[in-house]
Amino acid sequence: MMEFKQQLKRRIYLGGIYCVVVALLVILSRIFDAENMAFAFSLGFAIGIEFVAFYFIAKYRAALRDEKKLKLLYIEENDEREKHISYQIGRTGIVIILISLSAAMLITVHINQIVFFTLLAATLYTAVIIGILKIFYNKTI
Amino acid sequence: MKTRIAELRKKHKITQEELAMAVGVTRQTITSIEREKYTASLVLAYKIAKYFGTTIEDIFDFSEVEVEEIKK
Repeated sequence: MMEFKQQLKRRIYLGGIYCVVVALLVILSRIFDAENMAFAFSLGFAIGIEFVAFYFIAKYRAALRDEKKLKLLYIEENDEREKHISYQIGRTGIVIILISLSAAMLITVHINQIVFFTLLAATLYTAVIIGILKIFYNKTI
Repeated sequence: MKTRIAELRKKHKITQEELAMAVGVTRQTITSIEREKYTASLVLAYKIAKYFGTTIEDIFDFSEVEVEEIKK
């Protein structure tokens, strides 16, 4: 459990750094009046993530103060059925994504070449990542 | 896989929540094992058996597991 406590402290620390960086970006964007759409979207996205980070920081701090909450959080994160579900989601999800991308590719090749090549790149990238992960886990497990 | 977890819990008057906390899983995991929707890992099976002071074979029914034995 000590290791888990250290892990939570590290997460709080990293979450804190992220929040400070985003806050600085917000201030800098105001000072330099950065108003273009791409930057505004990126900043809005980062602020959204920051709210999620706040939630988790509060959750981890509460767990570090209360042993029962800490144990519940540990169980929640290490429950073997949850891990099994995540594994199943990954396995099924990747097949669905590959089939969907391939189907979309076959449709867009008749409509728009840019979209077709983008989807082709995404499909190949996904397939390469799966291949690399398969080799990696075959060697490490 | 069939198990005697529910039976043993009732015998010892233990809730799913208490058992889950003791063996380090969520209540939903115990529910799934009892409903035969999920098969416990070897480590979890060992923890549950140890918690009830018995053996894995006493709790989990391996009669449907087919295994070829070594030829003597």
